[in-house]
Amino acid sequence: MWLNVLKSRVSEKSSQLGKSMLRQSMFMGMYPSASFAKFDRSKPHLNVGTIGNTPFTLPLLFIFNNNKIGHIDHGKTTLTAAITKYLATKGSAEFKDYHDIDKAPEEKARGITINATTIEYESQNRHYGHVDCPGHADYVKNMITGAARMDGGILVVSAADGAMPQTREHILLCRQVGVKNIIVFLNKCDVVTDPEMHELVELEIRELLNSYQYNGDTTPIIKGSALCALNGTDPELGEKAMEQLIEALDNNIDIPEREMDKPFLMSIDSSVNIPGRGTVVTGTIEHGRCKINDNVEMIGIRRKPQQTTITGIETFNKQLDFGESGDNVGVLLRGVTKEQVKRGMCLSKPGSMDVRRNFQAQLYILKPDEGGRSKPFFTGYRPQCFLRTADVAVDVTLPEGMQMALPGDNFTCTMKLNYPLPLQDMLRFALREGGKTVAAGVITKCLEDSEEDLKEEEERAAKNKKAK
Amino acid sequence: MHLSRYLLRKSLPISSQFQTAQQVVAQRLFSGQAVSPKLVKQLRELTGSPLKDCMKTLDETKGDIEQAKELLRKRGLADADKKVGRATAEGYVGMRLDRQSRLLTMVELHCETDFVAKTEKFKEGLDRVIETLHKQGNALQFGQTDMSNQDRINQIARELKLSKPLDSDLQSQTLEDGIKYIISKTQENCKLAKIYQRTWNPEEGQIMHSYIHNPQQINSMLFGKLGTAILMQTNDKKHNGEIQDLAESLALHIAAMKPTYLNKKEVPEDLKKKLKEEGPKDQALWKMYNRDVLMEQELATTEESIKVKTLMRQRESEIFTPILIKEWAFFNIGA
Ligand SMILES: Nc1nc2c(ncn2[C@@H]2O[C@H](COP(=O)(O)OP(=O)(O)O)[C@@H](O)[C@H]2O)c(=O)[nH]1
Ligand SMILES: [Mg+2]
Repeated sequence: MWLNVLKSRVSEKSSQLGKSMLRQSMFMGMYPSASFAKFDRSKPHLNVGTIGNTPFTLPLLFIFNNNKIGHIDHGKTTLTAAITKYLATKGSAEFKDYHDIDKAPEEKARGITINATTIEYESQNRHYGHVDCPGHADYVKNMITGAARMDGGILVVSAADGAMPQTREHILLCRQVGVKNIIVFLNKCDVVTDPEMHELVELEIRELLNSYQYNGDTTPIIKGSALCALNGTDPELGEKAMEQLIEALDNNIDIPEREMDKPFLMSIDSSVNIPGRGTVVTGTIEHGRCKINDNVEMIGIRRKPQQTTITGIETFNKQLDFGESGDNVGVLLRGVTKEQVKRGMCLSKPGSMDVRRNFQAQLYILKPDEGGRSKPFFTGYRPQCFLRTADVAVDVTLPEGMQMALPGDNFTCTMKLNYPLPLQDMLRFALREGGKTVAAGVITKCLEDSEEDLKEEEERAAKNKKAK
Repeated sequence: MHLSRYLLRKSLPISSQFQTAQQVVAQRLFSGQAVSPKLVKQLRELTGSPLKDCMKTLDETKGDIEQAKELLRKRGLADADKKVGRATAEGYVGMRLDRQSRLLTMVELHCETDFVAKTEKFKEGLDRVIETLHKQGNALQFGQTDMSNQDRINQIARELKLSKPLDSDLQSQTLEDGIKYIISKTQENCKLAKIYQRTWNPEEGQIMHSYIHNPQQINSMLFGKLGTAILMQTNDKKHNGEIQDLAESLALHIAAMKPTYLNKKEVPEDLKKKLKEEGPKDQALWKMYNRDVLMEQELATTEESIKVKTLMRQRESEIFTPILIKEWAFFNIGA
């Protein structure tokens, strides 16, 4: 069930086709007519992730082992199987066999091939998606495509081994992909049983976590044995540990802020002039909510925001009192002409976001068999950046020492948009050129625009005026 | 059904032996004569070996740290042998280019996961391997035809002593033992998969260029997931400067387009024959040429559509002399 939502969410983002159909149907409703019924909000709405009894968007977990992956290993796959087994007895997960999980099938997200096993399960009050990948690169691809947002990580460390050189790399990866909370599962406590030895390993891990800006002192470390849990042998190390682990997930993985609780933002898809009423802009509300008579700003593309007021909200031929994140709506704006609106601009709560052109991003370059190009590109490459509904030229600057970017690469680089847009961390985008998606990316840091950038924009504006 | 298969596998004699060995340790530890956690901690800090190995050896040496270290080392090497067969598809290409002494050394060192490749232990090992080989000067001569000659690589690994042992407790270590040392520290199989080493002579109109894709650096070594080298020659050293940029773009081109053959002549006859039969007309063959033959490939370093051989001819006509690609190397992790 979860997967379906995931997929529909992904495909929704990527398919512009669906959007344009939506847009059409919405326009119909925008023409002056008071006869439409009010939209009934109590009915299930597709875009909101309310599955099971979860009132919030679902946290996704991912899980590592602390040791070599894909071979005779240290318990990552076994633990995954054990969790599903334990929860299956409670009726909130489907038991997944070790071999089912171990396959790590190739998944496609936004056209990009990722090796990942995704399973899902529920605790008393939450629903979890749980991703298991064989390598570092796969987790990074996951982050870039947004196939699985990673809200927490289970770091599996074998008590028989202790922290290994690669444990450090696992923690660094958590940092890189933006995992806020880590939970440690100390596995194989059936092999090394001495509590003093467990303590020794615990100390090692806490120290490591601390040295990478995680709070090692408060990170929960659950001791147990995945194998015992899977085979149902030692209830103390098996079942009990699973119970503790799930509890730790529930208590320690923060629920990300609900999209609805953030300030209002909607990226404009299109606009239409309705004689006698004004200009209607359409789009999907990204976060927050808006209601009639709200003062909002139209930002992006231009440096300065334009103030306006919402005088009407409609969806699918129905009038609304308010719109909230996930809704596809048309918004009637006061005192705005169609000429002033450009696709890619955003409506936002006044002062909540500023616009900029420069940012740092993690990029994945698509391979030819993923629909990308076969040739490399160099610093100064200027494809189109598709970001929300905007489509804007962008200058790509490769990191120092990197001479070219090849299909299959992933790296961090700086980029400069041709004109300013409201940007934020973890915002995803695609780079396209000549009908091909060249790269997928995610913003990792917004950078300040320089004086020169501003000057250049002014000069460009002046030139355009002259040309007219 | 899957589960029962899994359980069956678990009850095979080998794994139960393995388990009993582990249980024995645990039992001994519980039988009262347990080694102190302090000692185990100390030994782990000294060796980085897995906890249970530290416990076991300390138990056997009755708490003597020095003896335990010795025993761990021996066991580490023995355990390393057990891992040697396992598939290695990750790792790094390391390269050192010394224009003064005109020596290029490039190696491909493999491990099992990209997590281990990123560890300091692995990178340090790669650097030491490069340094050791580089010190041989031109004594080895590991050219294009020898690059993947595993027998020769293994032989050299057995014979050569590391420039400085990776295990600082030892006086000396062979290359092979150095790699086993990395295995024992990372608990993953490692393998020296490729070596390319070349000297060249600018006096005879030879120039060498090499490229590491998106490189990182340790000491004088550059390393990354992909590396290439190209050795070119004209009949006069006065052209060396003029063809330098050509060598540079070809090194990049090879990294991007991953050719298999230099020119059509190098393509094995039976492959040509097979593709011709596959036909329609010679289409399959031409497709292969354009994809895998360096000279026939479209130059990757420009947006224009121009073949490598056309570029070469252009440059030849500019300097009125033939330009030869004498050798080239393509090292790529995961390919
Ligand atoms: N004794 C014991 N063995 C375990 C435990 N968890 C996993 N194993 C064994 O360790 C090996 C590797 O486990 P696996 O889950 O494949 O590791 P992964 O590579 O991290 O996914 C398998 O043989 C498991 O049966 C445990 O808690 N106790
Ligand atoms: Mg596994």
